Amino acid sequence: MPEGYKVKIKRSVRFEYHNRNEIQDLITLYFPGMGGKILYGIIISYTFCMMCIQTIELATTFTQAFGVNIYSDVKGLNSIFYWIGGGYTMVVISFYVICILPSLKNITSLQWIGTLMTTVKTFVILCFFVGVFITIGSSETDAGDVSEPVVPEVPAANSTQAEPIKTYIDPEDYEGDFLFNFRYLGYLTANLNMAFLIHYSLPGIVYPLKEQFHAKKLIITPIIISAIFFIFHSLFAIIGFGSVENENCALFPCRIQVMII
Amino acid sequence: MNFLPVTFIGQVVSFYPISNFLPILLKLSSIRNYFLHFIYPEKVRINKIFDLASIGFTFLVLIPAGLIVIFTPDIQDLILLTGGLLGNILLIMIPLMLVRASRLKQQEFYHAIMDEDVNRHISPFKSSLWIYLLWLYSLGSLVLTFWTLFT
Repeated sequence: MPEGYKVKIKRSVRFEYHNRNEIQDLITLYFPGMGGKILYGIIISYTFCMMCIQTIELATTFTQAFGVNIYSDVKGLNSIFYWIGGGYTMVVISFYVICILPSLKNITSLQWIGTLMTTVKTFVILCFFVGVFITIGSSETDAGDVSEPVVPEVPAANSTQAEPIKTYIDPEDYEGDFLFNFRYLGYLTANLNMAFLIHYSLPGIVYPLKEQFHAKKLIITPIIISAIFFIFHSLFAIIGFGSVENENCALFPCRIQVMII
Repeated sequence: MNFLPVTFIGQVVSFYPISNFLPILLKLSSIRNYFLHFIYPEKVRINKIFDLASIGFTFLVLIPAGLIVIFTPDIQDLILLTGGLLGNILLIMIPLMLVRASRLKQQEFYHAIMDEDVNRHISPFKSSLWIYLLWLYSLGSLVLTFWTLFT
C-alpha cells in the first residue's frame, strides 16, 4: 500500500447523493418489483396524513380565533345539521376550496417556501423560550406577593355537574399523582417517530451540496442543536407550566397538556 | 394556549399554525405529482394549469382529506397512525431492510468489481446489535400503536 493512501481515503468523498429521493433508487435496486410500488404507497399515505394533520392544526387555530369551540360543536350538540354548518367544518371546506387553484401550479420545486417556513419556525421556537422565561418570572413574582400557597384552580362547573361527560378515557385513573399509564406508551413512541422523521428528508438537504465531504457536519450540527433544544424545551416547559391543569379532565389526563386546544 | 397571557409572544405562538398554509399547498401538489407519476411514469408533464388529470387528482386527494379532517378533529389519533405506523415503516423498517440487503451483497461486490479489501464506506455502527435493537424498538412501537388504537 503506498504511503498516504489512508489519508486519501479519509479525504475522499464518503457521501454521494445524486438524487433527492435516494431511498427509491435503493429500494428498486435491492427489492425490484413490488418494493418500489409499496414504498410509493407509503410515501403517498405519509404525505397525505401530514397534510391532514397540518390542516387540523390550521382549522383549529382559525376556529379558536373566531371563538367557536370545535368540541362543543362535535360532542355537545348532537344535531348533525348544526355540526355540518359548524365553524370547524366551514373553515376546512373553505380552505380546501381556496387551495385548489394555487396547488394546480407545480410549486414543489420552489425554494423560498422552505426558507420562509424555516425562518418562521426558528422565530416561533425562540418565542417559546422567551415566553417560558417570562411566565416563570411572572409566576415567581406573583407567588412572592401572595403569602398563601398557590392552589390550582378547580373549575366549579365540574363539581356541580351530576354526571361527567362520558368519554373513552376514565378520569378516575388519573387521580392523585399517578402520571404513568401504559395505555399512552403508544402515543409516546408515535410522537418520537414523528419527531425523528427529519432523517427522511436528509437526502433532500444533502444532494444540492457541491462538496459533499462536509455533509457530515451539515447533518450532525442541526441534530445536536435540536437535541439540546428538545431537552431544554421540555425542562423549561415542566418548570413553567408544570402546575397547570386542564379545564376538562374528562378528555385527557388533568396534568398532561393536549397538543392542540 | 399556555402562552396567551404573555403579550405578543402568546399571539405569535397561538397563531403560528396558520402559517401551515404554504406547506399544505406544497404537500397537495406533491401528492398529486406522485399520483400522476405513478400512473403515467413515462409521460413528461408540462406545467400547465388547466390539465384535466391534474384537476381530477387534486379533487381525488382533497375529498378524502377533507372527510378525515372533519370527522377526526383529535390530532393525536392521526399522529398515532402517522408516526406509529407509516413513520415507523419509513424511518426504521425500510432502511433496516436496505442495510440487510446491502450487507448481503457487499462482500461479493467488493471482491468482484472494486478489487479492494477495504470498504471505504463502512459505517461506525457496523455491529448487528444496532440492527437488532432497532428492530426491537420498531416492532415494539408497532405493537404499542395498535394496542393504543384498539383499546
